[in-house]
This record gives sequence, C-alpha cells and structure tokens, in this order.
Amino acid sequence: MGKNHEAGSGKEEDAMQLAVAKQQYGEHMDSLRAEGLLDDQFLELQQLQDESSPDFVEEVVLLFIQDSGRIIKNLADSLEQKPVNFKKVDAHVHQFKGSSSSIGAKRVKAVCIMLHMCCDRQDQQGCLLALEHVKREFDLIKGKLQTMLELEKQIVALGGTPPFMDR
Amino acid sequence: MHLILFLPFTPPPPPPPPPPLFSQCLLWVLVVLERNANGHRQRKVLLVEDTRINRIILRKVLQNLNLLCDEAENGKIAVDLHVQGNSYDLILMDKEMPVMDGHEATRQLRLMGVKTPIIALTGNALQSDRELFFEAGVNDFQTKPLSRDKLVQLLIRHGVESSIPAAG
Repeated sequence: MGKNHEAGSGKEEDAMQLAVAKQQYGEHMDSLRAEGLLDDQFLELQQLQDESSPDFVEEVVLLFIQDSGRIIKNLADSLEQKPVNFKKVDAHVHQFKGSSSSIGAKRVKAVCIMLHMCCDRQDQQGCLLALEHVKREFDLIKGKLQTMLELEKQIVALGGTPPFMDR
Repeated sequence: MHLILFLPFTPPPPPPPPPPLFSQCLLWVLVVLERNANGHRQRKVLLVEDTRINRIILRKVLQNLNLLCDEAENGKIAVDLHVQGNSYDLILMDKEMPVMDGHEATRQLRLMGVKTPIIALTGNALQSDRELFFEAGVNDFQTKPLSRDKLVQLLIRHGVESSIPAAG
C-alpha cells in the first residue's frame, strides 16, 4: 500500500506540475497578444503544426530569429556605407517586414514600416534611429519567443502537449 | 489431390493508355505518378516568393491542403520553370523580388501564352499596386500574409477546389 500511495502521489505531482506549466504558458501567450507583440497570424502558424510536422512552430521561430539577426547586421552595414544605397537598405527592410508579418510579429513589422519610410525619404539619420527601434523590438520578441519555446519543452517533458495542439 | 483456392480479387484501376510516341513517355509517367489513390490528378501550385520563411509557411499551408508545390525565389526562375515545360494549376506571385519582380514575371508569362490563374501577393494594399498587377495580367490580388481560409477561397474561385480535404 505504501508503494502504491507513493506512485499515486508522484502522478498527482506530475499532473499538478503540468497544470502549472500550461497555466504559465497560457499567461505568457496572453501577455504577448496583450502587449501587441504577436497578432493572429501567429495563431495561423500554430494551426499548421500537426503530426507530420510536430516541430513546425519551433523550426519557423528559430529560422525567424536566425534570419532576422542576419538582416539587422546587413541593415547596419548598409547604413554605414558612404553614400548609402537606400535601394539596398530598403530591400533588406522589405525582407524583414515580410518575415515578421508572416509569423505575426506585429510590432517588429510596424517599426520596419517606419524604417521603410525613412528609406523612401533617403533620410540616413532617420534610418539609423528607426534601426535602433527595430533592434529593440526584435530583441524583445526574440526573448519572449525563446521563453515560449522553453515553456513548450517543459510541458512536453511533463508528458503534455502544447496547449495550441489541444484540438 | 490438389487443393485450389479461389480468393476474392479486386482488379486495380487500369492505368491510362500509353502514348504512341516515345517522346511523350516521360510526360505520361509523370502524369501517372501525380495521380493520388483515387486516380485524380493532384493539383500543383507554383509559389513565387523571395523570403524563405514566407515560402516555408505557404508551402505547409499548401501541403495541408493536399496540393503539390514548386517554389521560385524570383520571377525569372518562375518564367524559366515554364520555359522548361512545367505547368501549374495556380501561381502565387509575390511583388517585390530580386532579379525579376512579380509584375515583370507576370507580363512575361502572359506573353508566353501561359493561361494559369495568377494571384498577386503583396504586403501593401495600395490601389496603384493592384492596378499595375492587373495590367500585367494577374487574375486576383491578395495582401500578405495569406491565411489558410483566404487561400481556400482563392482556390475555389479559380477552380482548384478538388484538392481541398474535408474540414476538421
């Protein structure tokens, strides 16, 4: 009876931990939406994950983070050239705006639009300032997305599935 | 004494008749391979988009809708695919791409006689963008990002609905 009691307690504890992890995940995702960091396009992305692509969201998010880091570096390098090739800068901005829009990174997309407008005006100082905003917003969403992926891993490790897969 | 067993036998559906010319054999093999279990030809979409993440996401949407998908990073590759003899049931065409943009690629495809429905995709909803694209010869215009529901509506509107699996 002692061992059965311990096994039962262990399972109850796991279930409680799983419930807590899912609650933390839910609160984290709610805050991402409430702060305007992610829009409904991210839900569309999550809905694409299925048994044939069980890690689809993680793969896309990690690719977004990797590609964005490269684009931001390219933007910084391009804006330091003398003279600035604004067409080249705008091409990078277009890529970043497109990818951030596709994953629902709403605020990153918004600051990319600001940067695009500065490119249109060929305003180098404006571009440099807008780029700082872009970096700030990207760093913010990057951290939040990485936390999201960690919370998902915790849920899976506790024997659950990410809440967006509960359908 | 020998025992003879009669087992129920359902003959497979007959393959399409082989073409008379050797030069058409490869095309015939491709048509047979493209048929799914129900004997229907699987619809094929050409996705013309330079941003890698956008291609990955749209590719997954198309796969989930049971559609085959070829990809082109720019308009020139899209045109070259047609020059090589490929054909599609639908083309999703981005606007801003390196080498050759969506407007020019659409114009060239129409000049080649390509009648496939072309859906223009752009991040801007500017009227001038729409007009330029329709002048180039697109059939429809959508702002990005393209959701599954919007894509399904486009597929139905342009006659590609037979590949759509039941919802749920």
